[in-house]
Amino acid sequence: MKAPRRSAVLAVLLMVLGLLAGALIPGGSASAAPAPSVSALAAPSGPLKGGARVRVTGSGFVGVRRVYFGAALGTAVNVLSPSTLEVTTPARGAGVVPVKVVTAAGASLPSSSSRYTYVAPPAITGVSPASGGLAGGTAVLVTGMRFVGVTGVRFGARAATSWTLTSPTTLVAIAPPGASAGGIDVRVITHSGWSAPTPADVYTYAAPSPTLTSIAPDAGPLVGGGTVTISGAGFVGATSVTFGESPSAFEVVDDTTISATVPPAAAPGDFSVVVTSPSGASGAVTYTYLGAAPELGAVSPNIGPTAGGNRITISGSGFRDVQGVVFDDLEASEVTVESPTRLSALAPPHAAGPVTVRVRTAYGESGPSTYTYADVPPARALATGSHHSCLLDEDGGVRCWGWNAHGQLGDGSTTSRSAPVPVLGLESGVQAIAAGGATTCALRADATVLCWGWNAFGQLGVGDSLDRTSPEPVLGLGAARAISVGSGHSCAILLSGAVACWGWNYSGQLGTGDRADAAAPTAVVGLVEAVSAIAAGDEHTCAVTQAGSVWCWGAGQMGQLGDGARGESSLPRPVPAMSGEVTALTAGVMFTCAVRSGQSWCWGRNAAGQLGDGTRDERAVPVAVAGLSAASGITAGGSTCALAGVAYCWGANTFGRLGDGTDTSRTLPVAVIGLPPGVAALSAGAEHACALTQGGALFCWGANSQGQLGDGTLAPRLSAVRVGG
Amino acid sequence: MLVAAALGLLALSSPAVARPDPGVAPGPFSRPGPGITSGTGREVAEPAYISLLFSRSNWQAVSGADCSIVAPGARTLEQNAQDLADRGLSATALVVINRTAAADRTCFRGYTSQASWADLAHLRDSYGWSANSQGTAYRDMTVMTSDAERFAESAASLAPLAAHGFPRAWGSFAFANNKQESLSQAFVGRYFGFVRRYDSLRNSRAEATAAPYLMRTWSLNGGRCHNRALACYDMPVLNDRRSANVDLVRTYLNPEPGQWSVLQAYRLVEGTHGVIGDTYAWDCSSADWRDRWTSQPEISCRNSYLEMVDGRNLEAVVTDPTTIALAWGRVPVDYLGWPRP
Repeated sequence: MKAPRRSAVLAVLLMVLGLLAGALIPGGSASAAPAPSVSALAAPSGPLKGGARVRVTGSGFVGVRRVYFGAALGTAVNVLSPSTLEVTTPARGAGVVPVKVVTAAGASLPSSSSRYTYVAPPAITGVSPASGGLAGGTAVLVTGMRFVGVTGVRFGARAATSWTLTSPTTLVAIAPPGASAGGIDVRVITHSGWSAPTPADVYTYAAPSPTLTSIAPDAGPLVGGGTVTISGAGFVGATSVTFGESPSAFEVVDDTTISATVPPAAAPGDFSVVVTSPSGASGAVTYTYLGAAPELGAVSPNIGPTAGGNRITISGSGFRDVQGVVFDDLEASEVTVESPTRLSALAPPHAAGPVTVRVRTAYGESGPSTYTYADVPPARALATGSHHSCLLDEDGGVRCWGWNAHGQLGDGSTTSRSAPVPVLGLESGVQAIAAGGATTCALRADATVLCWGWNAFGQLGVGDSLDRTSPEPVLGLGAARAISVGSGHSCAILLSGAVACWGWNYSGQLGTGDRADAAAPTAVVGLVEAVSAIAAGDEHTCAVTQAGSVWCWGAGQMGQLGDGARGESSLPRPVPAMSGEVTALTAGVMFTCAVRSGQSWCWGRNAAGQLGDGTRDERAVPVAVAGLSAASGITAGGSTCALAGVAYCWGANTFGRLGDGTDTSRTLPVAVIGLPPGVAALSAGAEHACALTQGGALFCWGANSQGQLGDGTLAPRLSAVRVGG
Repeated sequence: MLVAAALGLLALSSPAVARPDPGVAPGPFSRPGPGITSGTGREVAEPAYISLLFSRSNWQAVSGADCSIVAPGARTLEQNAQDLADRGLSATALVVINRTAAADRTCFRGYTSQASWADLAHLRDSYGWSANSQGTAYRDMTVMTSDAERFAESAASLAPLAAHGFPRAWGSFAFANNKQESLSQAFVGRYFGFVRRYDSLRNSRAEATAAPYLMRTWSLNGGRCHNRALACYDMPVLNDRRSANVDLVRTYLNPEPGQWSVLQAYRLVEGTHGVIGDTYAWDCSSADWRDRWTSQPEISCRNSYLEMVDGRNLEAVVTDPTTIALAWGRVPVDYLGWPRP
């Protein structure tokens, strides 16, 4: 058999050639392989520029000749096994292409497993929330584009704890713990590359919520204003510091220290201090507002009787949790706290003399204020000048109070007083007192007259025109039995019933027939009868004769002379309508009043209704005061008052000088409020009036700017107050 | 005694007829009575009134920073008072409280010395002068915005005036530099009889006793002369003022019954001093008032002033604004008497 030797050689030759082919084509096999197939791409997407290394998984990767990405040829094919090869992608435009492996056995067929997507790197358009705590764990929604083939998400240098792709434009990543507070870029990584950093991808690790450890000092006064140091952590970026609900001005010194100004508080107590930052609010530390010790402003009135029981008002501050009011060591009763700045109490009984008043609260004791216990002796007569008042007590002593610029109080000074002071040298022996303008006179039991105060016109009768601050005898008067003082002149009724006047005589008010001022008494000319009463007004004088008739002289332009004429008279003229039965007489500012058979009559100026006839018409002849009957006394100053059972006043009512509780002028009499029963006498000044009771108590009302009400204060009173508190 | 009794009987028995007030005192000064009274009420024969005022109680025209330059012809306020007293007349000094010292004459801005309270008291006691208020501090009341300010400048001046022996100073109030408006007029009118306003018209009772209670006042000026042929006709003077026309002022000082003329002077001089162009100069030497000149609007020739006064209505009652206020029933609503703190 020699022919089969050629087929055997041929078979060996083919086998060698097959072996050679297998050697030249790696992976190749000389044996007949199945056609390749692709089952998976490890990275099914990549950049448009190519160059990505892709591992292809499948089968039949024997004798691989080419790997195609669409129509483009991959490069650097490395067959790792018949089921795995790696290839570098070629550049292509965006889109999806099949990956085809070509071997000698054929080409793989396209399938869903062999699709390769060319796509640009991802881009982030937003992260939400854009901040979170340093501890991480925040679920962050990342939005953007081309989230295809996502392989990772980074938060700065750190990989997200986890991430979930929800769509090609969104994924949710769990933020890892941050290295430090501050902003970092979130990056999405795909097979096509990393997202480029943009401001939209910034995620901020926020500092932790502040924590407080202490505050120093931890207490202070209600008014605040002090500086405290708050210690803790997480203070950088703090947005507020509050004490209770009150914000505080503050400065962040560093992350562990805040310097804050304590705001004021309305009431004492513990308040929570809280620091707030964007990370949240801290816990609280406690700051305590301390109540302030009270402070005394004024005690009013600051004088009162030794029997106590009178209500005094105390002004000041810090009247909280009041525990008491003490007069020296004695407790006041019925303490009533009206507000933190005002309280009242009843003064306790105490011996005469000054005491200190203090207010005690839970927060301390006030400083002292002086209160004086003094009993005003029972009085039996009173007198009022324009802005001062005087009393004659049962012992014949004289005390005065009010305006004292000219020494009219007779205490040796020119200091105005709001409570009675003794007149020097007149502790006893005085029979009667009179006051007018800024001048006071006293009639002693020995029928001598002394005067003190204003003397510009010689109205003291001491021979010159110098003021006196203590009583001096009127020169050359003779024995007198009644006195009266006007605004600038004085008069006296002598024992003989004749009248002498001295002082200003501009309008003939001295009744001497001329107009020369007189610094010593001069006889009134032309009174044909003895005089029983005399009244010196502002610039006129009137007298009641023993027959009960009225004569007037001096200024009369307002009809105050009462005889129907208007003009001055330097000699007495009778008032025809007041002829007989006149029992009381008074001369005010440009007007005159009298009581005749119990009926009150007035004439002269009436601009404020001081004539009491219900009109404001000037009267040159007497008109009846309406609504008053059985008057026993009448007094005229700036306004008019009369005693008819009770006290009534009418006319101008500034500062409440009518005592009716208002400041409304009245053309008809109104009753004075606040007087006890048994008023015995009245006296009217320019803007105030006083009353004397049968028991010797004194009350005043009206203007009090000079202390002329004698209640220890300078407050005007619309109704009667007790002299001496 | 008999005289007194007779007078008393006269007082008792006389019918209600007009009778002159007998009270012209033979004392240290002569004060004319305020007018004719009647027994039936208002005056049946309304007198004519004249008031003579001296503004800011300037004592004397002077010069120099310390008022040390005093020309021989510069008349003092007392000399002016003597001139008037020689005619049986008294004037009213308008007083600025804060410019009035107790006893010294103070120098004010080098152009006048100011009368002291002692001077004013002397004028009152020896010449029968009165005083009215020209304010506490000479403040412009038109710029005041509160009643407290207005009170301090106007009504508050009454207390020191009364304390110094002028309790009737409420008769009129002179606004500083004549500056006034309705608010200040209304306020001042509550405390004063009249408010001064410069004018060349006489006052009537009806107008003066109605709000705003104006006391129209002729402010007497010095300055250029009236003779075109003389250099003094065009000489430099503050505000180009020309001295008052004596004839016109004489006419003004002839009020009819029921009228009231008010003439206000400042500082009077006589003779000659300085030359035209000097700030402190005058020539009052000519017998013709038209030829006289002074260097300042507030300096007037004494002879011109007296020619005006002497040319007045001799029947007119020359008295102070307070007396006229009382005569005309113009007592301010807030008048509260005196003295006041």
